[in-house]
Amino acid sequence: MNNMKIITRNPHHLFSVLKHVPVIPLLLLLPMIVCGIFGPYLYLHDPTAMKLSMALKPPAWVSGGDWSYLLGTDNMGRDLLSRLIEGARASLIVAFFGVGFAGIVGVSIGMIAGYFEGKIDNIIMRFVDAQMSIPAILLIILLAAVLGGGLATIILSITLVFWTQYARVIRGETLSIKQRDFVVLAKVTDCGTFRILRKHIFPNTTNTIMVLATLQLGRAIIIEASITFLGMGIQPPATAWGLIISDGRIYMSTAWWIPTFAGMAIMITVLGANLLGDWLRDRLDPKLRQL
Amino acid sequence: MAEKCLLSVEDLKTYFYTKAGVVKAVDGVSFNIREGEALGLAGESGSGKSITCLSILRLVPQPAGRIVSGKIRFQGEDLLDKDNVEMMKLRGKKIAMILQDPLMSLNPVYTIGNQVSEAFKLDGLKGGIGIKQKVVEVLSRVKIPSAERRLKDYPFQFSGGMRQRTAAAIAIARNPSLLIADEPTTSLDVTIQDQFLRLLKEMQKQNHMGLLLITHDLGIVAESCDRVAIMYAGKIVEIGTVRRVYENPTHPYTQALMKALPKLGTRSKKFYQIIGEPPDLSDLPSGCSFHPRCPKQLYICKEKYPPLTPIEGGGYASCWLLNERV
Amino acid sequence: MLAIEREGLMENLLEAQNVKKYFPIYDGGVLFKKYRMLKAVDGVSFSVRKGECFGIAGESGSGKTTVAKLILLLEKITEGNILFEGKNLGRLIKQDRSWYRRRVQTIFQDAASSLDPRMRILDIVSEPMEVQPSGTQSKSVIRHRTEEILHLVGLGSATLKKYPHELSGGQKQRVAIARAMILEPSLVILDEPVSALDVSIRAQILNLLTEIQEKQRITYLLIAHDLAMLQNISDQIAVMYLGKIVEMGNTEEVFDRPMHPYTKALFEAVPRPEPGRAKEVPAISGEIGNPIYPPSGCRFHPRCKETVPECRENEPVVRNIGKNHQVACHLLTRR
Repeated sequence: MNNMKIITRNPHHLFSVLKHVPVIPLLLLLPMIVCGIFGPYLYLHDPTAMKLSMALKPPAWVSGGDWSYLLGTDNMGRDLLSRLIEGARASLIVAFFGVGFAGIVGVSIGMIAGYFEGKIDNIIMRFVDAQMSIPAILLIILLAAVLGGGLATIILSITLVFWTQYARVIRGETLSIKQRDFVVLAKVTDCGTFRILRKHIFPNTTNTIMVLATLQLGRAIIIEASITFLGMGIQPPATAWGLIISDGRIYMSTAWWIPTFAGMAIMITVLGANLLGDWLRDRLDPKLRQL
Repeated sequence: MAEKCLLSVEDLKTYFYTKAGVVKAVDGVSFNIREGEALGLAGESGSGKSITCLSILRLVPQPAGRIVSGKIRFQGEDLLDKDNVEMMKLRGKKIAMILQDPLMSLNPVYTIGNQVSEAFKLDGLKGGIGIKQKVVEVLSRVKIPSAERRLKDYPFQFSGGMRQRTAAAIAIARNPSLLIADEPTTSLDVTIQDQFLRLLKEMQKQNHMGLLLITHDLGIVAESCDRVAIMYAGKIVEIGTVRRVYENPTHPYTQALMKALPKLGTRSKKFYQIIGEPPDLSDLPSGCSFHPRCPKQLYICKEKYPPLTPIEGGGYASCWLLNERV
Repeated sequence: MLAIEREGLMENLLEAQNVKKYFPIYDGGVLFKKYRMLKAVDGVSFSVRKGECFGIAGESGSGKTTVAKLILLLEKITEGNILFEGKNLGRLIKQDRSWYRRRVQTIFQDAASSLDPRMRILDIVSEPMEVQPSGTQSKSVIRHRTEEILHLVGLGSATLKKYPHELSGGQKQRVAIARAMILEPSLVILDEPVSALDVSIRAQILNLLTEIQEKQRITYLLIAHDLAMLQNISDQIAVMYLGKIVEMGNTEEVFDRPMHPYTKALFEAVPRPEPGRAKEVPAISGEIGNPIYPPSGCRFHPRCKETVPECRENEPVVRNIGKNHQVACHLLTRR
């Protein structure tokens, strides 16, 4: 027992550090984040450079493969690995901004609904209910059809689809936080409504927001890939994982590697995001199990 | 010692193994309860009184908590030797319990009648008119007015006092020989508390039950118990008959508690205050745990824990002041 | 000099005149909703003099906490007036409101819930100073004042940077007191200030509160169910039952000669640390009535041991008996 105590109390010990870090989720998420930010410095070939002579090369370890094209090439002779690295950026941007904007909108509206209750709350929450009853993918396709494809459209659609979930959860949190004595005392000391929301209620919801945001990261990436796959998201010549799958699907029988690796990239990243969300939830806010 | 010993606890130690270290929640507690006797276990929060009673029932929160050593003899058998199945049969049948919050101990989705009859069904009685009569009978014993008409009510339709009575009815339904009540009236108002304590006393006399009453309120102990054990930081510091302990407290902690209590019939704006705060159970002071707060501390108090010493007039206290050699 | 002081002592700081607070309770109907009134406070009058400690005793459901909420402007008064230094709380304009909120503070029962878990003690205690409209003070002034007030409640400067969860229960309540006292209010409402604390800590906090009162001549409105504590520290006491004051007066007078059957029963029901005290019959039978459908006549009559026929029919009026002692009971007129 004594020994155990020394280990857990020594912050420099590798074991004790690893115990407090979600290793597996981070390892899964790291490729997307690193590639998304440092992509241009990492790839060996220009992801958009076509070289038809090298088209449809299989991965290096398969016979006929070439070690300079580790994961093979697509129908245009573009290096698949470089394209995957480049595609990470779209996923990163969409996940980050989409979830971020949705969070800002949803949290503000949720706090207002929960804090004021009454008519405002009723109107907001009925609106949320109505929106949540429309299938997300349908709403996004509609938006994309109206606004045209592109990164901005996807971010906008993700914001529109995701804010409702924040609004619901944060409204509930606010309802319970505002009952606590410290909020009542803030009113007694003449704190304005804005100050109470900003200084007392918002900081007490940050755990929930963090958990919710990480759990939504995965969903955002899947939505981006689906929309792009359907041809309404990111447009060529830009690259995204959904686009690679979409382009590669007709070569499925001859060049299985094109859609497979892109699919795996999506899967690994989403799995990482979900695991991280679970870990954060257990760590910060165990009462959120139902999310 | 006219009555047989019902429960005897010897040198009970229950520790919690947490990341921050070992929490010695109960650290060498010994006492006994005779048949039909009421013992009050009084102490502040964190003194280990609730964990003592959970240890007797073998319901210490797992996996952090563990009964490290000691003996708990109930009607001659050591409860620590029993397996879970045997303990389950014992709980409710021979040893019953009433908790602080009746809202937590009653299931909100079942009717009152349903929940009380559960106790009889565990005894092998089949449903039907017989069991209904028994339920009505036991509910009338805890003075629920027009019990027959209220069998179909749900807990939320009952007031706080009535819910606690229902919990008491479930506890006494199978005529247990020991009733453990953990702060049974803390959530009740004074007038309702008064009614409930009276009922508890009455039930105890009728059934000749042993009662272990856990409370932080020394007033409640004075009115409902025969003997009292005062706990501090996981240990019993003084034990004796209620009259002796209240009229002639020996341990400095007991003395301070008695003085610090606001009393009816006095008027002074200054209360006697005990300095400091209860200690952290994972980092207890050396020697006697009370010494940093004790107005009468000696040198030895810092070094060694005082043994329980018999006191003139009955009972024991653990304080070096009682030891003549010091 | 002495005369002025005495006069100052007699001055009323707070006055409640026939105060009522009804809460609408939904009672069926979809388009045309029907409501019934929950009469939480139903015609309460009392006055609190400057510098004294006014106690309100009662069980849960008696309306004592609602009275506190009305004074703290957390609920709107349904009927009647509350005057603070002669100003009617129902008609405060915006500037008056923030003036009033600087003068009146409160301390709640649960210190753990009173402190924002995400704020440092420095920010918690100094918040009332920060939100003052009259020119913001510099950080160093605020910090200095916070340290000073923390010393007053017996906490060192090391506490400033801590978070609430790093403090013990007693320390948390001290922080709550510091926050309430930082603007030197004239009235502090203490809502069960020690009932969540351990016995050994209670005395410390109560002593601290009376010490501060003596030093700063603050007026206390002490709401509690613990009669022993009320007897010891309050100067005046009001006993509430189902939204009404049944007995009120000088604490010594009320405790020495309780006249209302409910007050008597309440005293009888308190468990005392005196072994062998003979108490054979329960002090009081039944439970507090429903404030939506209060009993007719005197609200206490279904539980009262000494009912006379009038109790069921007429509400008793408040009568003066003695210099500073008022009781609402039919028995008094009979005698």
